[in-house]
Amino acid sequence: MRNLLIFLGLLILSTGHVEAQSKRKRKKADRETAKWNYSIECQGEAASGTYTLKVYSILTDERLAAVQAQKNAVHAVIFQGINAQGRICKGKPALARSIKLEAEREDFFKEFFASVKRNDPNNFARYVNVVEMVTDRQKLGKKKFRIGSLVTVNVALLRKKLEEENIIKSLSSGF
Amino acid sequence: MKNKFILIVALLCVSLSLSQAKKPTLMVVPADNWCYQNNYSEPYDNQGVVKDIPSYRIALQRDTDLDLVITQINGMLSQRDFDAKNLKSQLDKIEGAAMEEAMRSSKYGGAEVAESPIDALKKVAKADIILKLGWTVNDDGMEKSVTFILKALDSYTGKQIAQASGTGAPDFSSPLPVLLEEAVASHIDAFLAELQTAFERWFEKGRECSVGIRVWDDWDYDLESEDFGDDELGFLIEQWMEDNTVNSAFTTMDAEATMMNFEQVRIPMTYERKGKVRGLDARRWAKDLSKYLKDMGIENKLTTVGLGEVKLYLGSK
Repeated sequence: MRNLLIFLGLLILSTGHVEAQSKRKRKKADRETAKWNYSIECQGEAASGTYTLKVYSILTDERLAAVQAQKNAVHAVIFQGINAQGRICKGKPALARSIKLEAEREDFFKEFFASVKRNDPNNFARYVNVVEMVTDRQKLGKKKFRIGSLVTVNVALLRKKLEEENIIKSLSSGF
Repeated sequence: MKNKFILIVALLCVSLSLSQAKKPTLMVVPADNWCYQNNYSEPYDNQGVVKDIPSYRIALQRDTDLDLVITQINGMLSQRDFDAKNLKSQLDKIEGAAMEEAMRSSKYGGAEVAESPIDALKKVAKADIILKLGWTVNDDGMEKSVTFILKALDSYTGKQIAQASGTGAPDFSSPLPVLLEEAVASHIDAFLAELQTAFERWFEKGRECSVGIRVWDDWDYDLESEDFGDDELGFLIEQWMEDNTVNSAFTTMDAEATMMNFEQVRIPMTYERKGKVRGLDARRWAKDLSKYLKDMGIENKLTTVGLGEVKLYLGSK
């Protein structure tokens, strides 16, 4: 009986610990996200409306490379646009048509880029796939890494989502 | 009382949400230059002067890649809620109309009016925006690449409102249709973003059109007559234009006793009738000018040339 109580106690404690750990990890990931420290290179267009991008994320914890690369890729597609890459890739305009959009719809994007489950429709992860988690790794300092990842972003679907949420205007808006 | 107020507000909201400007119609056609390069042209006799003009019918019949590219662009437009007019069906429509016309003229023995096939297409399709596309294949013996060009022309003014062009990555194994598909896919986003900018400009600054005023020879007055108000008729028309254009934007190109020409006339995208906001086009807008002149006792005739040019003939219908 005593052993059973000890076992149950340990189980509860360990579950709590795992929960707290994943919470900490999520918080850390969100802190990294807020910096938006990355650069993007276009690698081509696999199909219409899907961009293949190489994301170089600057991170303090390289375990966050995959999730951060996905967020950075979606962020670049929405707010920055993609630069042309010689003959491989034509320049892509940003989905946002105003430079103030990120600040104006802060609440939406905070939730959109939050580190929650992938199948949440209000989450960035629905629109991006990791092809290769780490393509390049460079140590920049004691706790600073530059990690390259290859991802694809479904821009057509992402645009549709943002149009439905009235975050961006559709081509036919006003008509 | 409170419920009634809520009901009225709700109805107002519904009617406002239904108010929409006229959606521009689009049509993709091959560029003239591409047609000439590929010998898809035919001679056309324009009142004795014979010259070669592009033949879209021949191009569609002989070039399977053209159909493929047009279909792909149309597909991408429809993904963005724009249904483009299909070139082939519009050409079929013209053939039907031409046959009908031939039957009618033989019945009444009427004189035939010369009309180029491209004018006929514009008349039938009535597309607000014409998308012209062309490509060249660069082959250095080893690798092939495609140089692609797509531009959107506003039918109202003939001005270019969006463009995309560039050369794709060279490839030694992919067939031409695949290279073309890639070219369209890689250019379309930037192209549609430019098109959207043009649409936003229309909503902000108004749609551009041109207006011509002419006077019938047998009319007793002209545009310098002061019998219709406190100023010459020409100035009264200008004042009306100032009041009825977006930000009073228009340019008086010519102003003479018998004719006036206005260009870059910015008309609103919508107008209100019976409490409902509706889409406005150049003809509907000029109808108000026609009515204004009629109210002054000036009989007039309103005609449209193309989609964005209206002409008013003063003196009689």
